[in-house]
Amino acid sequence: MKISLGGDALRLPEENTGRRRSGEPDDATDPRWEESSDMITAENLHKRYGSKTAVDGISFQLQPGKVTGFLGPNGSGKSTTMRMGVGLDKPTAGSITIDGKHFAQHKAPMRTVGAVLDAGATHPGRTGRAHLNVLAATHGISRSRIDHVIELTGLGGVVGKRIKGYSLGMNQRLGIAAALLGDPAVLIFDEPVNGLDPEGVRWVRGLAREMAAEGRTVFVSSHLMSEMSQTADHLIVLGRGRIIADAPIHELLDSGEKRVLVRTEQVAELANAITSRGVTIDHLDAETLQVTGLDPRSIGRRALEAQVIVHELTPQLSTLEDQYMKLTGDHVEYRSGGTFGEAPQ
Amino acid sequence: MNRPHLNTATATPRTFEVDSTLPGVSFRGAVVSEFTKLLALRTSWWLSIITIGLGGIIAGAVAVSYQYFMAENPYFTGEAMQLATQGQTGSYFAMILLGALGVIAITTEYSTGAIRSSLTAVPQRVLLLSAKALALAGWTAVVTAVLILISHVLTSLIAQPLAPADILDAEIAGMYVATWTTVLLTALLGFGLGVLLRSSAGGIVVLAVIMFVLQIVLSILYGVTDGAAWVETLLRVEYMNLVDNFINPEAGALSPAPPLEPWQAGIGLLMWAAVPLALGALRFTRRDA
Repeated sequence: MKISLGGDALRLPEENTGRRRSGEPDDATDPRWEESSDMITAENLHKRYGSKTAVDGISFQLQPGKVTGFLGPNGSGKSTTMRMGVGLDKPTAGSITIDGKHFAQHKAPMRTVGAVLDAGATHPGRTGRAHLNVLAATHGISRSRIDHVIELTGLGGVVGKRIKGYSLGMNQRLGIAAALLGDPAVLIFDEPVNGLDPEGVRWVRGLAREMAAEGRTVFVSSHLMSEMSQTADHLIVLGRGRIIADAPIHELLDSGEKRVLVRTEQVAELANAITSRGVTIDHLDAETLQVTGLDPRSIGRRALEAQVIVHELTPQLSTLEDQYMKLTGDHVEYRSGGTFGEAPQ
Repeated sequence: MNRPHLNTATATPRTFEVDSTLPGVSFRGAVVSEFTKLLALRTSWWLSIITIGLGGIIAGAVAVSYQYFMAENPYFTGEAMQLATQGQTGSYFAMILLGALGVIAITTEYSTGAIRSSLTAVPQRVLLLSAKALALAGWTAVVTAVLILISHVLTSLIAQPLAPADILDAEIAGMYVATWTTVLLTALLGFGLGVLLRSSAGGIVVLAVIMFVLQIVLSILYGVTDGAAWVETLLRVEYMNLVDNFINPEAGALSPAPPLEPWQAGIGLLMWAAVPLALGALRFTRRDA
């Protein structure tokens, strides 16, 4: 399944009103404005490591004011794409730009992009504060800003300690603190909730939403669909280095099959009443049916006509997880072999 | 305007404006950052303390034995330049220790992954590498200057032929500056090897081979080939031969190869540091981090 966003940029201006920067044309349909609203642009991006293709010709655009989720199984090319975004890896072909320029061409990279690509990207012998001081010095970032991000990320109690004593969660917070140092317009988070406790996970979600609400471009990767469903406005789903979906999250959910859970003591009568072409009926138990292909209103009307008493009529929302599994089913690089019970003794 | 949406926080989105008046990345900032890294690392301090401590002990030992030798041989009056040169023997250890610091200044960034943080702050790789080299050179310059001063003070206080004020003597001062330069260049050689090899062990081993093994191998080869011209040439441009020729022009007498002028030796040492640095820089700018 491929949900194309080919026309998405044309739909967005309705939502984008107010995101205009000074000097941009007033007319929201003006193509010049369309162009300038993309903060991250990937064009035919390829990356090969030897004979292995990590990213296979992907193109996408990310707009400010939204959290864009980058979803895909392990090894699908998410981290590689993000690394190319901040110039750590060089594309084999194609390009990825931030606000129209390659990352290294920006005069103030830390004020342009804050990236958390790897919680371990620190020297364990340094203290957390020393790590932040080192990064801040490159851009002349003030001590008060360092103190502010320490406070924001809740690192006050450990920032004086050496990083080797940090938990994975503390490392993630330090990485986020470093990313926020420059108060950047774009935030790139690669699996930011890894190792965080529930409070930390909630905090990261809130932070991503808050940053997007401030008009920043927030690009968050995860292999956890549940995480994305609670954070992202828009999803790019990657499988084996290719984009398999690129759409607003609600579109992905809407594109799923509509199912309705029906509970009645007259299962057989109801099944007869609603059976028609395109309708699938699953008997979940003696009193419960799952109906696909009819909306609750039609089921209720037919039940009334057949004089069947219905106790429950519940639309089943297709979960993002369902959609994700369906989308990535053929694109998973590593698949578990079976149940634990099947393992040789 | 508000379409049905799971997350509605962006109902009235806007573009975040970055204050363009705030400073961006600068060479000065990158150098300060790299110097802060050295300051924040225990390894830098330990290697530097050991360098100075060892240098001091060696200088003291040299001075005591010199003084003892003079007492035993009343006709031997000693010579200030000779004692000053021997007093700086610790600089050979400084070369390997600070050369190792040069190696690990970059390789630990790779082994810990910190290079990714560094490059997201300063993605202009040549700028980052230059800042690292300059910060390392600055650190090494200070540590070596302290080492030379302490060695001089200790030697001159313990042994008679050398007086503290002799540091102002042109010949002795020139030898000290040459010593200081060789340690500095060796640290940069180590740094270049680190950038090129991306391995602490690999970099330090190659540095040790350059400093300690090459001369022995070439000397053996010189004997085996009965003084072949090409071996002689290699012996002349061998690293430690260049160091000896650069610091003390008289040292050439000990080598089977004809001595070089100090300026020639200086250029040779510069090349030794520049080649790995240039190759390393080429790799650093082209390869994925």
